[in-house]
Amino acid sequence: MDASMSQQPPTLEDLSAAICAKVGLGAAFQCLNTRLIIQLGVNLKSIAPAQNADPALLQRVEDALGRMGIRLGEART
Amino acid sequence: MNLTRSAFTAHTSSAEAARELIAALAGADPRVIVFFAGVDHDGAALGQAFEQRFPGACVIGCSGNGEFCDRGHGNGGATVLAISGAQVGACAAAMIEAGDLDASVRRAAEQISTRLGRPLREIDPQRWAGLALLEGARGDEERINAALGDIAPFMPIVGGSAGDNITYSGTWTWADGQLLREGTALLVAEMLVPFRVVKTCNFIPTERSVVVTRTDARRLILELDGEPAAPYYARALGVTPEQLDFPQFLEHPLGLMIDGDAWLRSGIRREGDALFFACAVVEGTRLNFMQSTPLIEDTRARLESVEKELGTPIRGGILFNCAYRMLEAQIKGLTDPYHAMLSRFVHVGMHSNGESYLGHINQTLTGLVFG
Repeated sequence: MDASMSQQPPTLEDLSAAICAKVGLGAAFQCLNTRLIIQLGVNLKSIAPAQNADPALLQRVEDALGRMGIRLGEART
Repeated sequence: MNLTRSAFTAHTSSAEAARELIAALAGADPRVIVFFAGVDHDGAALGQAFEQRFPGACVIGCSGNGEFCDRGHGNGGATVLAISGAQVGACAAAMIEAGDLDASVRRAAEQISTRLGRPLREIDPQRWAGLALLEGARGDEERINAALGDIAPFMPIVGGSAGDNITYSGTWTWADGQLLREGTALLVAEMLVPFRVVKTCNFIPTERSVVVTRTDARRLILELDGEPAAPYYARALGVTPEQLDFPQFLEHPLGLMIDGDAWLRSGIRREGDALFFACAVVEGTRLNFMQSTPLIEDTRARLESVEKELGTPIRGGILFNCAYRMLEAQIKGLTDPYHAMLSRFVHVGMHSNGESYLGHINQTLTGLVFG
């Protein structure tokens, strides 16, 4: 795993913000978000409260993004 | 002048079909050849014939539940689209074998990347497109789509699941000079003309929705809203679970709504108190009950909308039309007018066992169109 992935963001909302910072809110974000909705049931544009701070789900989303080559460490606030 | 050419034959003899299709493409100098044929055709004979006649082209094809183009439609024949070098620049194709799908997809992607001289993950999604003809009988489409997304998450990759007359007994695909009976054909092409992905379904969401609360196996839904799925779904439709059959599933798919766009999940059959769907659904997903709209009018409107986005008339298309839509058209006596409507532009297509764009989908017309 990328060293920058070791610092977990606390919530999916933070993760969503980091993705926006990296790829913007346009077509690229839409591609990623649609894939995450279909594969994991996570909609980063409308995060369910029960999902937001679920560490296991957060890890699965990060793993999925990592497989797609999306490394977020440098974009996190 | 439109450089995209199509041809159709009803021949069930693969040698005769290849002769007729190639003769119809006389004078063409294609960069890409896409063909679809009945599952009983000898796909290797067709693929080899196209490769011998057009050695400079990437040839890709698969079996379907019926094949169509702007020059004809049927089931058991063959059809082909020839796309010129004025429309497609660099391109490469490879075959994804069954088995370890993640590894096979990576291997195919590496082959294509090597031939194109660039990693797929880094290519410009505004300029490049992928075409995937997925094995359609094993139920692996979700995994294949996920793996394709892993190698090129932003590249538009559209496709369909190869057909076998809706028997799920076995399909074939052709790419890179080989035919596989459990393989997925992948083509990546540099588009020199404007292009768009088209994805449409003739359903709109109702206000009623349901949460998938328990699943088992990959496409079996056990519970909806915490209740056994089949009785719950049947009650919502006003029938008994025993009455659930093809007509109900055809007319009442469930829709995963993403930004107002429906990603349909279509039922196939009842299995006890569970429902077997043509697409996996993740637990916790909210799905809307859907209401049908007119098939032809919806499709025409979507194509007109895409044409406006393109800013130019559609001059070619590769279309994947779900077998459920084919059956709906047959039941409603709309087969000929449906294909007449599509034939406003040169295209090739097949009736698929599901469609692919960012994931596996049901009951859509999905494809790649270009100006």
